[in-house]
Amino acid sequence: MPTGTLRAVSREDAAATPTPPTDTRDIDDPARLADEAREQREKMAAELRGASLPIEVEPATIYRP
Amino acid sequence: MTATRRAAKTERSESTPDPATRFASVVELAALLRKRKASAVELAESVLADLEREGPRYNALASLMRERALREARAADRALARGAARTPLVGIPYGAKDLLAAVGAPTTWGAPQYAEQTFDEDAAVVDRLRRAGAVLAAKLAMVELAGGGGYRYPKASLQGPGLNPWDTGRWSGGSSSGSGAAVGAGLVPFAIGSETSGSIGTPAAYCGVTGLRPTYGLVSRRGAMALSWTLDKIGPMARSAEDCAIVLEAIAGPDSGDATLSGKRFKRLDRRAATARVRAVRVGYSGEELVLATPEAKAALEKGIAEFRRILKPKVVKAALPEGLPYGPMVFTVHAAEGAAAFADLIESPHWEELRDTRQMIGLRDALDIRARDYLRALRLRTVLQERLRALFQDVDVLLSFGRNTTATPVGQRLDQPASGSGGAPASQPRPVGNVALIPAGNLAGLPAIFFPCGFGSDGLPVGLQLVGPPFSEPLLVALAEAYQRETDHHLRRPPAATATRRAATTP
Repeated sequence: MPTGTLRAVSREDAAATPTPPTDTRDIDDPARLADEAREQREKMAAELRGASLPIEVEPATIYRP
Repeated sequence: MTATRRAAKTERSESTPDPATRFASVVELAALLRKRKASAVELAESVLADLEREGPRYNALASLMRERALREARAADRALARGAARTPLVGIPYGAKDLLAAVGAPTTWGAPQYAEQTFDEDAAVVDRLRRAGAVLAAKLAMVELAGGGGYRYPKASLQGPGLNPWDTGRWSGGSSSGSGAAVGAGLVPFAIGSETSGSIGTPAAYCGVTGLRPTYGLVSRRGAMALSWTLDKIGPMARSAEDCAIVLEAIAGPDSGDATLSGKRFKRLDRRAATARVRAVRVGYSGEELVLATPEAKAALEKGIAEFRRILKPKVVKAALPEGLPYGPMVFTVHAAEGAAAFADLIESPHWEELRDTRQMIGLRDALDIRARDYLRALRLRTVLQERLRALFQDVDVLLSFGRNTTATPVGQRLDQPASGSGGAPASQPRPVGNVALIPAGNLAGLPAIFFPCGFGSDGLPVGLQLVGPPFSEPLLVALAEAYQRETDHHLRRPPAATATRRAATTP
């Protein structure tokens, strides 16, 4: 499926989804921090995957034979 | 300008009885030593005393290196006596961020787990400075593990929160907290810091000092803690661009112990070449990012940029970072994935929970779950960024922006709040405004940057600018900052607290 379609679907889903309840745990609660870290990682990954990237682009690496 | 320098010197002599060295530049100290107005041992003793007395005030000190400093100072005095001082650094004391191995003191990496860690060999940078005749006086405090997990509080350090010499209720910035504070407070003439993404720039901006982030691959990282193999850079922090250049000249260059090195060296432009390059420079500038400056910093940053343009009269070209690249997620993913991989053994050990900052601890552990596809995508996007920046640097020689968009934040303030100035990974910003993402973009592309003071915010705290150029453009960056500093005195200003402390300490 083209990325654009996926993104459009996810935006519609977001519009239809009610706002989640505010997290009442202490801001430094380890369980809350773990949830936030996972959410941040997933959000970052989603943004990376959403960025335009031609297939021929290779990663910059430090490997030099 | 001359009047300002004269006033600064008068103030120094009133507040510093003997020797009159505190806040002196490397160049001034080198002249003092060569004229035998002070010996290297006297200078070392003076710096050691300042560090011992005032270092803890800023939580800047990791280890005082008295024995080693005096040994190196004696060697410097012998070289000076023989007329064999080959570099301006002979006999000049300095401090090294505590991620650099140095024989004679622990290398804690700012973390409780490594409080007793020692090495039997110096890091390449420390070794090079020793060979240049510099005197290692102290290891300087840092954020634990250089903040790879995205720390939440300035107290994320074995030595406690880095406190700002301009106001000890404010943070000194991170992760080179002690390096920024020690130079800002006049405790050492220069220090070595390191930057993965913002760790030289932030403390330089917050503490009112000059910092130089070299091109990736110019300075050896052998013997330095690895946080991010493809992002880490080691560079000087000092009172002026000129001093940074002197230090960079000593630490840059080939080393068989670091496979990522380019083999290039750094050499300052001579005065004539520097003048010609400065006159012809094309400065890329957007200015749009100033809307994101905090109210305390904004007017001073605008004034600083206007002053830079008025003094250097460069050709200014409207230029901003390439659009469509998610800079925050890119730098976060590379930084966090490499950091978690580097510390995987520790993360999976029972000692992991000894870290001071819970968010950092959890963030690094979570980063073990970054997927290979995302890490590689970040690296591929980095390739795109490098190509686009190469194109941009066809039209401009340097990019100009603010160092940080805020003055130093309160020491108790969370760093993961907007405009916090965290040394950790920046917040996600898919559509960056102007050149606000210059720190992550410059680091991802391995570009050099110079950070230098340009004034004071409405809260009396320093603000600064940054210039970023293409790879290995350090000579031009230094020449531009030197030209600015020749006509301004922002970099010569001293924190009132440091002066007051010295007066109090010397008043019977």
